[in-house]
Order: sequence, then structure tokens, then C-alpha cells
Amino acid sequence: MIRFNVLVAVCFCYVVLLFLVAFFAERRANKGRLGWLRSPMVYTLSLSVYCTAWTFYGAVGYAARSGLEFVTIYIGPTLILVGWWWALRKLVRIGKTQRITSIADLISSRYGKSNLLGVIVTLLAVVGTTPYIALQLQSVTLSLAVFAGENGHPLTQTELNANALWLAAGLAVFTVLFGTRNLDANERHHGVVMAIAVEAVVKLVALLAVGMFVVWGVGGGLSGMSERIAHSPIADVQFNSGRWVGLTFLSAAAIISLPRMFQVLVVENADERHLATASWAFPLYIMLMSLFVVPIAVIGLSEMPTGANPDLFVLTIPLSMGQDGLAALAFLGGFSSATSMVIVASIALSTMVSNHIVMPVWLRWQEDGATVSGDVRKVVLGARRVSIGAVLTLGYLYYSLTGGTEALASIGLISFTGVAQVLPALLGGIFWRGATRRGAAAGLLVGFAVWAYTLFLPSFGAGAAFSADLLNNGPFGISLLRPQSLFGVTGMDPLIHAVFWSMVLNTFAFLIVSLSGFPGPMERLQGAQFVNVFEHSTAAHGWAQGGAEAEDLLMMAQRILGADEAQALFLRATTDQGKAGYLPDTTPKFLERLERELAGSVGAATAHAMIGQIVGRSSVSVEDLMAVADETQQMLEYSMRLEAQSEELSRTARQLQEANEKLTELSVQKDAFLSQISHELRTPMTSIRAFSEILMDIESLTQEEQSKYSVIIHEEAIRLTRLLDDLLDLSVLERGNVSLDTQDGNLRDLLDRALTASGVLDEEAGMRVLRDKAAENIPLRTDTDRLRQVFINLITNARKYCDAAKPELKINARLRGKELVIDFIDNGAGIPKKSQAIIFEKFSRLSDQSSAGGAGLGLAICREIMVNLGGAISYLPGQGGAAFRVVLPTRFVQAT
Amino acid sequence: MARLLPVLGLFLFMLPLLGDDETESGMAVQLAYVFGVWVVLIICALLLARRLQTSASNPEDPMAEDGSQ
Repeated sequence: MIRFNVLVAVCFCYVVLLFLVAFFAERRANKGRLGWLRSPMVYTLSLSVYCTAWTFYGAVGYAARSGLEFVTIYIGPTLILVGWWWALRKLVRIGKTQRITSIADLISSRYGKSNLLGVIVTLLAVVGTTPYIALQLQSVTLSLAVFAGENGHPLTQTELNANALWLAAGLAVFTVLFGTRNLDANERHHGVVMAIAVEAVVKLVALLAVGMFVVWGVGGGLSGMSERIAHSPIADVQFNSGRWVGLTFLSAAAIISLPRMFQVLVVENADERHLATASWAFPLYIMLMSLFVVPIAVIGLSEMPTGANPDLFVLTIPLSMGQDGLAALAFLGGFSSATSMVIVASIALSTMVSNHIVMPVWLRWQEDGATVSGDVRKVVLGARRVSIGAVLTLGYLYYSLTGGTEALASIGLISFTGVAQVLPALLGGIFWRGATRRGAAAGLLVGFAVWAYTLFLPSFGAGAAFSADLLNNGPFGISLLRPQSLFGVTGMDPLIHAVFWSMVLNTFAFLIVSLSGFPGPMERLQGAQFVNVFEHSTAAHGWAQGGAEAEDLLMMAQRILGADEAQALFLRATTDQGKAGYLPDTTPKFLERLERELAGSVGAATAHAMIGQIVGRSSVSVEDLMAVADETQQMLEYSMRLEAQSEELSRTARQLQEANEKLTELSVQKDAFLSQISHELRTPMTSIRAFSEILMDIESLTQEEQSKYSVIIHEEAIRLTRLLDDLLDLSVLERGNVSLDTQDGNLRDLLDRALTASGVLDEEAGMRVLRDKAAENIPLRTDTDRLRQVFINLITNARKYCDAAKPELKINARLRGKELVIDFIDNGAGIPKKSQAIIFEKFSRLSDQSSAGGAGLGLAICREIMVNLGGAISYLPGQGGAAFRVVLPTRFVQAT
Repeated sequence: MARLLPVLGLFLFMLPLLGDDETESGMAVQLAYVFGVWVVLIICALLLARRLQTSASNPEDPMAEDGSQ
């Protein structure tokens, strides 16, 4: 007899194992070594979230009640997977090119990035999934109750509820930890997927083990087994062809439209080719899962006492035969099925809720718009965490309210039917360009209403949501509207009745409303991209040129994607445009690319709205619509060639223009250089000459006056020398034949000394310096004197030019990949965009304040020093002040 | 061919519907039939996936090849 405590301990160890698996997978992925983490087999196993506790325990019960019918639940997915070339391949490709984050995102994005549709689908998914989560909680608590009962301590309903609560809380913790770790640009969760794959193996092994035990241990081998099957009451079950077809259709619809299936099939897909493997491996998996279902049901019915719950045969048969280890394994299998479903479903739902409900509300609520608001990533992640908690709480509430009365299978099918209402809008969206937003909304709402009316509300039983009178005679005595026999169709199975009417009315509403109106321009663009995803995978533009400041966009992108990713994205864009720096031209193409990156984090509709806030109204040009319309191939090709040429030309022109601007700037600077240098040399010269003349000519000077004048002469001479030293230094550095004095040092000490030397720490400077000394503790091996010179220069500049009322300087050092990055950011006015390109040139003092002192050589020297040290220095726009970034390759950072 | 397979599968899986009650063949036979069809489908899908993958790795457009099959 297995002790209850032992079982709980086993269960706990298993959970710890899952945490470890997820943790190591996540860490491996962070190091960039994906490897087998993203193999087609892991992908296939992750699809097994389709097999929930409902299939693990419930399939046997289902078989005991309705015979062979249970396989329809697997036949649908098998057909869809085997036919991946039709629909799944297209879905995955669309998911990749459009950066789709959830099924609500797909629908909203397809129909002109409409948030209304996103909200409808999200609500539908939440309503459809909550009972399903409740079902999982119920199955785990029921199975625990079986063990407790075996020990002679039957659990009370309160204890069962407490178990369910603990389970829900534990799952919430796991999901929050690994599901909302970061805002991955592609919404992938390596840790979660890996854990799910492990759970998939556990549940398959468990079910196969129980099955083999039943067939060979109890049933007497294959022949004995088939004998028993023939004499079992299961064999007498009437074959219901309506349910056979209807359920196959339903399960086929479910595998595409269930939020959690969409998450693992499309969103977590790393490579389209994995689908080819899954096309045969996943059917194989579910075939193995259902292989022993009938034998287990048959043996259960004949060996177990009458009245035993057939939903728990998988567990009770081994227990009653004294096979405690096998029973524990079966329990773990059921536990795995339940937990993996809940985790993936709550991730998928939380993504939808945060992207389609919380973010739009938050954006509207923030009056200043996306540019000024705080860190959006925190808001998104926070919203997801809260939604995960909320989804699980809802599931728990549903469980404790319904009290686990219904047979497992019926809740599952009700859920399936609700979520399948997305199907017409989804398939219409990817195969039919005429589908419109209104049509999709109408279909979804009609289907949802019919489902609630004919299936969901009656499922609570007569007297709960609907009175018995309403169920029997229809509302107001109109018998045509009886919930379970609409329009006088009687004698149909209630489930099939609901599936039939909801899908038929849904599809009609979708088709009729779509045909009666015209899609808007944005819908046409998106429609063409979705339907013809294989022909042109490039996106059409939806934005007008100009208007937007690249710096505003960078600011916004940094808040959503994170500083590093956003900067890298902008840098790539400028390089592609043939420019330098962080601020690309805001061409429609660039905006499109940015929008898609953002969509990967916050969903298409929100990303569109956020860019819209900065750029202004999106415009769909005539050219875009032309590209959508079906012109002749020739025209398309011609225009494509022209486009390629003009793009090439405009890139060259941009480069030329930039080179020309720089040349003009340089020639002006050369002139300025000469006059500057004569000016700079002349000022001290003049005073030296004047004062030395005084010393020479006037005899009657007091000792005091003499020494005062000679001090002035001395100081001016020093200034002159310093200027000449700087010039000399610069020319040596520029020619690159400088000898570096490499020493060991520590970044923190260097910064300490630089801060002291530049005097910002003095009271009179009045500047606050923000540092993270722990992060700065990085040993270096480089020319520390030269590096310190650069730091001093940057810090002194910040002190001199930062014009904020309460000046602050933030120094931010970190290792990023193979580089050491040190940012110096002050809170002043920053440097205007037009000057950012020339501040590193010689004598490029931006203001003519002579109070600033110096000859404008500082940054030029810094740049040359950094080049000589093998690093770089650049101006970092969009940080809310002047910001300089010093980058040093890590071969100069000592190994610790 | 890839598009034809699910149609074939659907047909085979729906075949039991046609059998009337007189030719009652017994549960075990039905079970064997369903799983038999399943295995055949899986093997076909496996072979197809192999072929499609090799043709997709060719520079030629896999779509074109698919159309001719």
C-alpha cells in the first residue's frame, strides 16, 4: 500500500525536477546554445499538450461509456497533422512573417489590425478555456483522493478544494517564473517547452506501462484480450455515426483553434521544417496514447466493483492489483498531462489578455502617448503575470463552484466547441481575401452566442442557468427556440446539435456580412499578405514617409524591446540604408520593420497603435493597393525591378549626400582650423608679449607686481604648451604610430580616479554621480592612462555642458557579449541631431562660450585614443540627455 | 500528393459508418481496422515528409514540384 505522504513527496520531487529542466533549458538558451532544445522531436513532444488529463484519464472512461468513439478525439488531429501542407504550413509561415503572438493576434492582425476582434477572440478563449483548466484541477484532486481513500482516509470536499488551490498556486508560480521571464521578441519560452516535452514522455510511458500491465498481466496476452473485448459490454455500444463525424470535425477544429495548441504549433515553432517531422511523429504519439485505452476500459469494467468511476481506471486498476509503483507512475502521468495543459494555456491566455485588453487600455489611459511613458516592458510583463494569476483563479473558482460533478469528457467537449468558433474567421482569413473585419466579428459573435445558448448554459443542468421549463418549451413558449433543439430539429445528440448550429450560423454570418461589404484598405493589405504568404513574403507598407523623428521612435522601441535590442535594430537599419549612427531615415520600410518587431512583443494591433501615435495616421498608398490587386505578372516584375533599382540608387544617393555633407563640413572645418589655431595661439601670445613688455619697459615695478606679471606669463606659456601638446598628441594618434603602455587595472579604480581628477565630486560642481560600483568591478588590461584620459574628458564635458537645474551623471558599465560597454549619460539638453555627426571632429566646439575653455580637441582625442585601443566611442541618442558610449572589446578585459 | 493524404485518411476513417448493423464484425476487428488505418497514414506521412524535405532543400521552388504531383 503506497502511503499518501510518499505520493505527495514523489509528486513534489517531480515538480522540482521540472523546475530544474526548465531552468537549465532557459540558461542554455540564454547562452545561445539552442541545439537540441529546438529539435523537431522536442517540437513534436511539445504538441502533446493536446493530450490533457482529460485524455489521460477521461479517454478510458469515455471508452467504457461509448466504445470506440473516443478515437475521434485523436482522428481529427491526425488528419490535420497529416495534411499539414494545406493549413498548418501556411499558419506557421504567417506566424513567422507577421510575428504573431497568439490566435487573437492572428485574427486581429489579419482583419486590419483590429483590436475589437482581438478582444472578442480573447474573451472567447478565456470563457472556453476556464472550464478546461477547472477540469485539470479536478482530475488531479480526484486522483489524489483515490490514493487517500486507499489509505483509509477519504478526503472531504474541503480538503479536495484545498488541494486544488495549492495546485493552482504552484502552477501559477511555475508559469510566472518561466512564462514571463522576459519579453522575447518571438514569444518563445524554451524552458517551458522543454519541461512540456519531458512531461510528454512521462505521460506516454505511464500510459503504455499501465496498458502493457493490463494486456499481458491481467488480460492474458493478445488473444485473451481480444476474447475479453468481444464479451465486454463495450462491444454492445451502439455506433452513433452522427457523433463519429461531428466529433472528428470538432477535434480537427480544436487542434488549430485551441489557444494552447496555437501557442505550441505556431508561436513556439522554431523552424518550418519541424512541421514535416511532426506530421508523422505526432500522429504516432497520439496513436500510442490511445492504443491501450480499450483494453484498460474492458478490464476495468470486468475487474473493478460496479459503480467504480471509469474515468479513474488508469489509476485504480494497478492499485487494486497491488501494483503501487505502477499506480504512482500512472498518477505522475496524469499529473503531467494536467500541469502541462494548464501551463501552456495560461501562457497563451495571458499573452492575449495583456496584448489585447490591458495594453490598449493602458495606452489610452496614458495621455502622453507611448513616447513619454515609462518602461512599457514592465507593464506588459506585469500584466501577463497578473493575467496568469487571474486565469488560474478563474479556473479554481469554476472548479470549486461546479464541485466536480460532471463527467470529465463532457466539459472537454463543451470547451472544444466554444473555442472552435474561431475556425471560420481563421480559415476564411488565410484562404479568402474577401473576408472582412465585420464578417469575422459577426461570425464570432453569432457562433459564440449560439454555443452559449445551446450548450454552455444548459450544461449547468436544468434549474441552474436555464429553468427546466425553458429547456423543454423554449423561451416564452416558442418551441422553435428550445436550446437543445433549435428550429424544431429534434432527436439530435445535444453536443452535435450545438456544434452543427453554432458552426453553420457562424459560417453563414461570416460569409454574408463579408460579402455585403468591402474590406478597408488596411484589411486588404493584410488580407493579401496572409492569403498569398508564399508568393510575397515581403510586407507591404502602411506608413507614409517623414513626419516621425527617428529619435522618438528609438525612445519608444527601447522601452518595449529593451535598450540593447532596440539600439541593435536601429543600428542595423542605418547600416542597411548606408548611413552611420543610431538614427535611420524613417522610411515606410523601416517603420514596417519596426512595427513587426514591436508586434512580436505586444501584438500587432497595439504595435500599430503605438507607432501611429508617433508617426500620425497610417496611410495606404495607391502603389500598395496596386500591389495587392491582381495585375499581370509582367507589371509586377517590372515594378519590382524598378523598385530594386531605385532603392539601389537612393542608397547610393544617400551615401553620396552624406559624404558630400561631411566633405563640405570638413573643408569649412579646415578653414576654421587655421583661423582657430592662429586665434588660440595668438591669445596667450598677446598677453605674454604685453606683460613681458611691461616688465621690460617699466622700471618702477614693485616686487609684488613683478611676480604677479611673471606668474601670468608663466600660466599663459603653460596654456600654450598644453595646446601644442594636444595638437601633437592628436597628430600622433591620428597617424596611428602611438606606443601604448599596457598595464593591469580595474575599471572601478579608473573611474574613481577620473571622477576625482575632473572635479565633479567637489561641492561647487553640484553634480550628482550615479554609479553601480559592483558592476564596475571589472579587471582590465589596456593602456589605463589613455583610457582614464577618455573618461576624464567625458566627465569634464558633462560637468561643463550639462545645463540641468540639478545636474546628474549616470555611469553605466556592463559586459555585453564580447564587449565592455560603458555609458556616460547626463540629464542635460543633449546634443542636437544635426551636430551629433561632427562633435568628434577637431575644433568642433558647439557653442562659442569661451567660458568652456579648451580648444575643442577633447572628443577628437578621445576618438583617436579609443581607435588606438581597439574600441570605439560614439554618441548615443534618445537617452534624455547627452550620452556617450565607450566600447572596449573584451580581449582587453582580463579573465577573472 | 501531400494534399491528398488527409482526404484518403478521412475516407478510410469514415468507412465504418457505411457498414450496417447486420455485418456486425465485432469490437476487436473494428479496433484493429482503426489502428491499421492509423499506422498506414503515419507511414505515408513519414515517407511524404522525407520527400518534401529533400525537395524543399533543393533550390527549386517546392511549390512547383508539388503542383505537378
